[in-house]
Amino acid sequence: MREATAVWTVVALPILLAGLAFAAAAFNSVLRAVGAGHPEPARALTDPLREAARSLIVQRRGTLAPDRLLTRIGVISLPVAALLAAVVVPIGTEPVARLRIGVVWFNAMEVAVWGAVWLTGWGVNSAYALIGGYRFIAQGLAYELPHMFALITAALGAGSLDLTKVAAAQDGLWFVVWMPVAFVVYLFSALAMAFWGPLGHPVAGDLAGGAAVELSGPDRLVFLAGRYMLLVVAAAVAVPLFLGGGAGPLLPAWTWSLVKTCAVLAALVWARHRLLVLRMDRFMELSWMVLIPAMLLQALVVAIVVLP
Amino acid sequence: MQPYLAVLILLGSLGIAIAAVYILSRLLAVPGVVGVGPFLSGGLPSEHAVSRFHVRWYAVTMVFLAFDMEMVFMYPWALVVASIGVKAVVEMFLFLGLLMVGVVYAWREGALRWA
Amino acid sequence: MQAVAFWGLAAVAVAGGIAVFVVGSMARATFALLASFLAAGVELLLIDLHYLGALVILMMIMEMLIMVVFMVMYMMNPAGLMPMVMVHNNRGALAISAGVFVALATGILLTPWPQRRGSPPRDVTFDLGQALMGPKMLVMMVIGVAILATMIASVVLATHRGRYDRHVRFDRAEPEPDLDPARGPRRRCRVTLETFLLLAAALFAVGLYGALSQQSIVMVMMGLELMVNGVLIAGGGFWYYVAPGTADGQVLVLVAITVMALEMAMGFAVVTALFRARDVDVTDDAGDLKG
Repeated sequence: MREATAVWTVVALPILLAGLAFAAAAFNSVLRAVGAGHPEPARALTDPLREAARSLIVQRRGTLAPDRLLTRIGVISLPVAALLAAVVVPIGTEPVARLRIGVVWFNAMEVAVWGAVWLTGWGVNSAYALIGGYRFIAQGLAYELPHMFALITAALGAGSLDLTKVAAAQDGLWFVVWMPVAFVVYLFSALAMAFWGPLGHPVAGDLAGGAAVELSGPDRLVFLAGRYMLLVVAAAVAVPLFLGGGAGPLLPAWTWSLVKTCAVLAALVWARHRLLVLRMDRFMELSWMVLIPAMLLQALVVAIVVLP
Repeated sequence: MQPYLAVLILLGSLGIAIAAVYILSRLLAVPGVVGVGPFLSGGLPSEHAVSRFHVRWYAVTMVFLAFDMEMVFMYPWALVVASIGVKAVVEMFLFLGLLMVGVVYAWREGALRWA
Repeated sequence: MQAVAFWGLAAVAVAGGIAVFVVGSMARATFALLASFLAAGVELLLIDLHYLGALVILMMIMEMLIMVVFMVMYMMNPAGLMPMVMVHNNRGALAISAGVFVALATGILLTPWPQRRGSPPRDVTFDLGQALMGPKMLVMMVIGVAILATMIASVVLATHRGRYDRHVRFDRAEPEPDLDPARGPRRRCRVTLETFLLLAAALFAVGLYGALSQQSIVMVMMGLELMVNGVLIAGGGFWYYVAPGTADGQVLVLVAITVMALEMAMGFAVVTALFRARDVDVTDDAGDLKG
């Protein structure tokens, strides 16, 4: 953290984060409208705005003897974790905070989601919400280790934990080409950390909304906005880790970062409408006995390649 | 600008945005709180949800706690493989091999299953 | 600025530690402990230990979430909806831990600590990696064996299904498991080795109080964790203010983090085995040899 921060990144980061989060929500609404056979799916583009406005004016719901403090901490820590994770992500080549250990920092902030979802589920004193919260921890036990291996494999390829250096190390050959297993596992864990799509079991419909079932009004708005922000950050980190960062012809670096992020984000949102929800009681063994050994082999291959 | 200052500014802005959401809701929303019970598809709760809760996957948590310690060593290791060479790779994968023995044992004993 | 941050975080760390044994809700107690750990993690970030600071944040969030799972599983009253006190020998524990704090603080203030030797390397984490792959290799390998032993032991203690049920239909009549329920910047700021050690001593003393006074085994473990939190801070302080040129202090912090996780895994496994065998989760009921 020696170099000073470029002022423009401090302005650009919140705009990009908010803009992409809205874009993801709007794209999701359109895909849902298409899936429902809506005659004019493009009209669903403004659904997230309508939903936000509704959250602000709707009367709140309450439960008996909730732990309001813990619920609020859980709800608010989602967007806070997403923002803190985003500060180490280079926009082009310039992050807000050039941390030498940016990868570890991202990992630590992403783990905060464990706490956020569990607290939200616990605090409201409602059975469905509680079970949703516990489902996230079970999911965490399954996805976190392969996720960490994917992060380490990319860092190992670059010999650095600084996301800007990892991106710079892919000059000529993107990591996705020679670390395909790590890339796929990363995308999988990106879905998990935003409890999205196939890994959306903690907030699934079979629990009437799981961890978020009792949230209403501003709590719901902040929780869902935080979730989209996490999805955006998870997609954005895939770019410096595996997709060459801001590298690309003609356009400036930040444009390439944005384009690549949008592509990953669109794929993640699309996955929600194409893939089945995973149940951890069926998936846990697969994660430990297939994903972890596969990632170990991938890391071994990368370690042998980077040997002097 | 100092990086920590930039981070604090961003955090402050997010704090203001979140506070604005809560204040707007207080001003605009229909006042009061509707409903006094949890959503149970219309059923009545028989006890507090925040009672003792037995998770079936407790054995996984213990294996996880032990296994995730390998990360503590792997992050710094990733930085030095290129400069130290074969020795570092052999050492780390011996270490990981030891840990995998534990995982396979846990799997064989059914610790990763609960349903 | 750094001094303000240090003292603010120190206050959070100690207050969080005290709150663990004051609040009624087990969920709140666990997250108070997490707040204490997060403050300690940011303290490490302040003294250039970026990797270890982020690592403490990362590991402690996961560990406290696992802790809370066990809290809610074993404590009779996890949300603190009924007031309930589960302590023994409260006064004695308070006196002992206060005495220990005073003794440690006196030692800290009276000891002539060595001058700072060397300065932090350019890349602290790289330095740590080199140490782990070179002179400290034995530490890592020993920890590897300890992790393996912990995995096997905790699986043996905590599971009951064995390996042969996989191909058999799950028998519903089978009884359920009974688990229900630097001298350097002295001019710029006043943060010194002594202040770090005092913070460590305070955390250690609060944890000691918890370990001595709590009846529930899981709460005793919270006390032990808080004591290790003090060790983390002390290790970080020593590295920065005494010997930043070598990675020894960093390795000490690493070992402390690992020990904490292994202690938790074994502790939970033992409580689970004990609970299954005897239906108890408090220390006073677990003794066999008492007359």
